[in-house]
Amino acid sequence: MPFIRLDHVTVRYDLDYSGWNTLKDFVLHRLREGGKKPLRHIDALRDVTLEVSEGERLGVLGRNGAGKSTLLRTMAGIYPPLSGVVTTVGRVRALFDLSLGFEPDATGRENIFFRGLLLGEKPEAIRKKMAEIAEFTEIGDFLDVPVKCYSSGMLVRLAFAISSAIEGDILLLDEVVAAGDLHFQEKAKKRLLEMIDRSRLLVLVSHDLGAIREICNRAIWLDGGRVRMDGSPADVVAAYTAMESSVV
Amino acid sequence: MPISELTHEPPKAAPTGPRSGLAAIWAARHFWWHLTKSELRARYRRSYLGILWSLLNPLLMMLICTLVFGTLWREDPLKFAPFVFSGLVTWEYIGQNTNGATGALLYAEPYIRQAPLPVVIYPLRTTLVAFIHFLITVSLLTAFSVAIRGPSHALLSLCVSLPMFLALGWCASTVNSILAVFFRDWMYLSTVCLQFLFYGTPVIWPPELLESRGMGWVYIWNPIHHTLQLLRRPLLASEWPTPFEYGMVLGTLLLLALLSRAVSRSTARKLVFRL
Repeated sequence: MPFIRLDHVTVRYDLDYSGWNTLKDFVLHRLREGGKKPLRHIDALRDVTLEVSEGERLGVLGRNGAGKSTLLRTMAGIYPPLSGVVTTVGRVRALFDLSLGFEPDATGRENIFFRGLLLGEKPEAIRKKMAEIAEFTEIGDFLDVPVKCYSSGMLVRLAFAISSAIEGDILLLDEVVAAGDLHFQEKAKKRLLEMIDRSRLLVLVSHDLGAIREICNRAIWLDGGRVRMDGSPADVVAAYTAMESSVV
Repeated sequence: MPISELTHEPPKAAPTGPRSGLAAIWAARHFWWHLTKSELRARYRRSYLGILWSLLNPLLMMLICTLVFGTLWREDPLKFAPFVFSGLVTWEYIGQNTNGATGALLYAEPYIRQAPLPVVIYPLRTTLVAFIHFLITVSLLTAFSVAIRGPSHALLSLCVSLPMFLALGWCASTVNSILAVFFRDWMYLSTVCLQFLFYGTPVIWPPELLESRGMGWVYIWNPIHHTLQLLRRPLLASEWPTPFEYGMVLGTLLLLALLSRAVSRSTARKLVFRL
């Protein structure tokens, strides 16, 4: 039974490391300040306690910098918390930073392999899916060309085709993907909706309030790294919209 | 992501801790092994001579060193050339491992930000690429040794020594790669340190040269010298390495393993945010 539990989770980014990101600066900082000057930091998530269970489709909304993407990456186990405990039970399928993580000198076909392995698939399973992934990309012979020769649209097509071909219980989505041209976007949207239907637990981060209302059965509003509201999508979207309108 | 259950509590039980990471490293074996193969393929795809480049560089260096230094120090070229070659191929391994490691995590940022795999697999990729080149040249040296000296049971010591080379390389590249994330000038400093060590280690100069002048201390406590001996004794003298040499190398390995464990654990919470 897949679930995600965050228990008093705080995730902190240090801001001042840029002041001593070389050995020289680090030594000078130690000599001048005695290493006592506290570093500035920002808590992207502050004492967040949240549980998402099987069957739930959680929409996460909030302004830029509210901590939405950090929340998703923390759930995926990519960002370690400063304090608190994150428990994620189930096979996670995360779709974010799609066009990153390619081996530029490797061909598209080889990269299907890498991405699949990175996402936890076994080589045999990827071999079985290779033809289907290749067909979905619609990039034909380019699959045998190093990806450094690809256009950005082709890269996203490839990335989306691989990432969306691998199944998981928990689906983490950071913004609904706008991949490639109009035809491919339609195709990608259809596949995303199929993935959402099949997933046993969904967390969707989006600025598209309509999508959250349409797809999700629960929503949270993140503000300054804290959960400001947790409830039905209709209520949370209404409260968020009202606040945004009052600010404007 | 291959997560059946992922629970992380900060900061000490972070998932990059070597002990908890061993199972995760094994689980990710297909990924890092394919990355290694891809790097090797990409490197040779671009080069006309392919894998021969791995041999050509130390061979040319050996020729030059034998001509220049062998003549200067009046060494027998037939003994001096294999001595220099064994030193240079080991140094090539150390150099490739060190230089590659400084970018291992920085270049792997897109992967690290997408999947919670143990970060030590990225320096492992660097080490494996360097180690495979090293194995190729050591095989050549072994064939040469057998042709000249005939087969020797001392060659069996390589079965123990080569995994030690791999482990040393991995520990060193782990520390190096993490330091390069936190200190962006580390790569320059490590190059300078490497250069300094090259001249301070009997790679191209015979140890007797200093010993005869009462300066044996320059290399006797240098662990790289003893690591070199693990290769030179069986291949150049048909002898097993001495217990002291094994002790020095194992001690260094233990220290490096503890250091890499301490560095990866203490930086586990911050590393992803510094990339």
